[in-house]
Amino acid sequence: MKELDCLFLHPTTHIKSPEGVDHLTNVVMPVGTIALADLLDREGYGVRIFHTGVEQRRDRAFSVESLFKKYDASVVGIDLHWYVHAYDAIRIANIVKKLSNAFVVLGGFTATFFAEEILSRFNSVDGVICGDAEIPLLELLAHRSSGGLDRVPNLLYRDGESLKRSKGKYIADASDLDKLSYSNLSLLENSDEYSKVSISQCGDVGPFALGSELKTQGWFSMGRGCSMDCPYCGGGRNAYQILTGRDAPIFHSKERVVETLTRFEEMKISSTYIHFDPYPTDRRYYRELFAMIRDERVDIGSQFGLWALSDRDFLMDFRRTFNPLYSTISLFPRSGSEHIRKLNTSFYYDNEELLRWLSDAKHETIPTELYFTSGLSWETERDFEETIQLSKKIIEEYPMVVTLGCYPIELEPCCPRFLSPKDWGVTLKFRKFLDYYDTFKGYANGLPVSSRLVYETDHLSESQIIELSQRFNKIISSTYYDKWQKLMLGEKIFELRQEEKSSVS
Amino acid sequence: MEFKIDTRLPLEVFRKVPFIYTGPDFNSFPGGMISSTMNYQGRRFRRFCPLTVSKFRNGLPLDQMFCFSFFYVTDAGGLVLFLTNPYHLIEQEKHTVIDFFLTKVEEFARLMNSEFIEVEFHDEIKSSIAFPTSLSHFSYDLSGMCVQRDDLSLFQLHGFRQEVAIVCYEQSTLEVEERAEEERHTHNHVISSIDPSKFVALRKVDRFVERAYALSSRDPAVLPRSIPFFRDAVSVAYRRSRWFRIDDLAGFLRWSPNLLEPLGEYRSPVPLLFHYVFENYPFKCGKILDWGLGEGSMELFTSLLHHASHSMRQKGLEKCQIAYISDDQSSIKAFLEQLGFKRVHTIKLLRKRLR
Repeated sequence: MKELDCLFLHPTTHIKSPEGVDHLTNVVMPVGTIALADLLDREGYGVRIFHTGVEQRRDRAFSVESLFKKYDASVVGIDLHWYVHAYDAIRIANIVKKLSNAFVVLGGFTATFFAEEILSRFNSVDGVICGDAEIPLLELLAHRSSGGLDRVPNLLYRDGESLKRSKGKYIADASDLDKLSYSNLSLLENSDEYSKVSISQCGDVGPFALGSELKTQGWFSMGRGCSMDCPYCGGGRNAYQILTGRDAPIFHSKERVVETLTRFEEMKISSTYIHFDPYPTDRRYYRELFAMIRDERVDIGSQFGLWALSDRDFLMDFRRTFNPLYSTISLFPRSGSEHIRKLNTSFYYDNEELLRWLSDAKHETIPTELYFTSGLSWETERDFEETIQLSKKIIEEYPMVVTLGCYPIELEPCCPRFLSPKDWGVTLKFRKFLDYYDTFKGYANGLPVSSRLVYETDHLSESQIIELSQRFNKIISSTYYDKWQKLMLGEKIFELRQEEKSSVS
Repeated sequence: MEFKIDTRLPLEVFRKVPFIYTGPDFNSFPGGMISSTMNYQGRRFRRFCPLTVSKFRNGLPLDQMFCFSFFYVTDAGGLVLFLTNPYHLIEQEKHTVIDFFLTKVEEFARLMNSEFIEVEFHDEIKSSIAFPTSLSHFSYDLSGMCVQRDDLSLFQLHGFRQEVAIVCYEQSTLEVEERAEEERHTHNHVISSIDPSKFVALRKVDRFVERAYALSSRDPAVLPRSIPFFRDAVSVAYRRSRWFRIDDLAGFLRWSPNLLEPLGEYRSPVPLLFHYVFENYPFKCGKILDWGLGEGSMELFTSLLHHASHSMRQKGLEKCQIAYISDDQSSIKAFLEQLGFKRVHTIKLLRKRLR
């Protein structure tokens, strides 16, 4: 039995299909897990991370129980950042509690938002670190055995029959971020398998899919916080303020980012996922970072998520900076209706500007991914028709758009629509952690669930929202297919530039 | 130090030896995925496997060799694991790397119940070889690649035997047009360009005496390649005696401009996503990549070549290459040499039977 100071377990969402086949989804770990483990490791603590999805992908017979025959951990950390892990995180906590004496601590946005409810309902959870977790985890390891949990900042824990919130508050600043490393993958069991996990086209991950992975993906965070409050996002400015106390975004130093990317390159990671764009009107940080990446000749691709349109210079810089093999830019217009987009996003652009941006991306030969949604506030079926029409036009005119997807917008705990549903024309079907837990328990066991989306809008029922996305994907994939068939079957032909002589003759 | 084989395609490969992918699900390639599966004898599995051999030094992987591989079904119904020309990212320990690679690949192929493993080697590269440069959907820009006869010998030591040699010839379009003009007698055939949309039905005709070499005519994923059609790039010959019905089809050629030329501009392995770049691109070379000839082949061939080279010249192309000629098509080879074509590229296809 190997003794560990801290064992991190990443839960993976299980969904049982009507045929009884167990599928894994939402396999990407919160990026902070590696950094937290590395921080503890550098402080001399014995740490391992197990990604239960990766372990199951390697061995279908894998069980969390088997880990406790090999490891005796003092603290077990389970991430509960995204609500989709609500059931599996608790399921794992129950196993840990049954098989060990470890202190079970949860962390992440969902755990933070529902901390009191989780601790009240589930005895298998001993504490929740609310908000930033770096110093709190170090303090937890230092004081857990002496019973000094009150000295652990950001901790909500069980004290006898009641819950107690520790006194200290910790909010990481930019200098704290720079002490973190996201590249110590040696702490993660089977990290080479994890580097093949990628965010697939539906923003989700299907590890048992039969696609052939070409690239390896490196995950890290460029910063924390946001300057915007999009109604559907649980990581906006207000949410950050509530969950972590942070009121403005902070960035990693560019030097540290280049260092991480260099390390990724050495580790043969071919692409890095960058999805942190909290100041769309001022992208100086990225322009300077890109210049440094070029100066250091770091060879890596990037799957870059833009939160709003960029100028042409940004696209040129992107193209010059990253290896083109696995580099794409993602954009999230959400709706084809300008009116609906304006009501639902913090950084508005009209369709003409969107098409101009696409023309720039086309000119710069950048593969582009576009994502739309159904179920936005005040959206009607008629508005959604505009989304379909705009997407059809994009397919016809922008061949470098490699993905064009549409999904029902989710309701993240702590997003404006969750906190003030009436203000956003939304009715919530539930709002407790237990409801999320029950929903994902239902999915895991192949049972019907009371609500898939947790909400409906003033204009669309839950089933209408789901059907609209399904209709979009059906129409668009058929339009896509027809377009490429035309090209490959020769129904569309290309003219080569004619020699001047022959055109004169 | 231990070697490891992994299914991934390193960035370094594209940087050192750019390539083009024209197979299924090309849209997903920039996202780092090919979602193509195949069904064989009741099993469903991944068709494409990018294989990288690496070893570890100080805990970091050092990529040694890359090989793009895929499964296909032969006309006789056997499953083949096909390997493209192995590319060494590091020159040291090549022998050991190949030994390790072949041991692992053979285990994998047997596990998948493959009947054969095949590998293509570029055995002769004498010019700038136009796209496509491979029997597969994965074409390297061979200007960044050397002939690896040592590797070929190592494969032979592991039980691989040469199945066929596939050659490519080259001549200037001006010379082809002029010489073919002298030789051609068009009284038996009518040559014309056709609407490419009719080409798909036409190429299914299976009564040609001579035909471009292809891995399989049974497995739809092996052919056709996703390549855009260009105006006047399909030349067909009909027997003069009747109407232009498919029954009267005597032969055809399809060519494409060399899509490797603008690769520096669109910087992606997937040309179809950036097809708008091609229309203004001053291509220099055209390649005949699909062809079939009925009876009276040589006379017919002359007329088709004349038609294709004229079309290429009109579009400013200076060089013409013709690909996928099997080494045993001696009359075709002799005829091309008579027209001044030079042999510029040879692919050797080696095969090992597993069961």
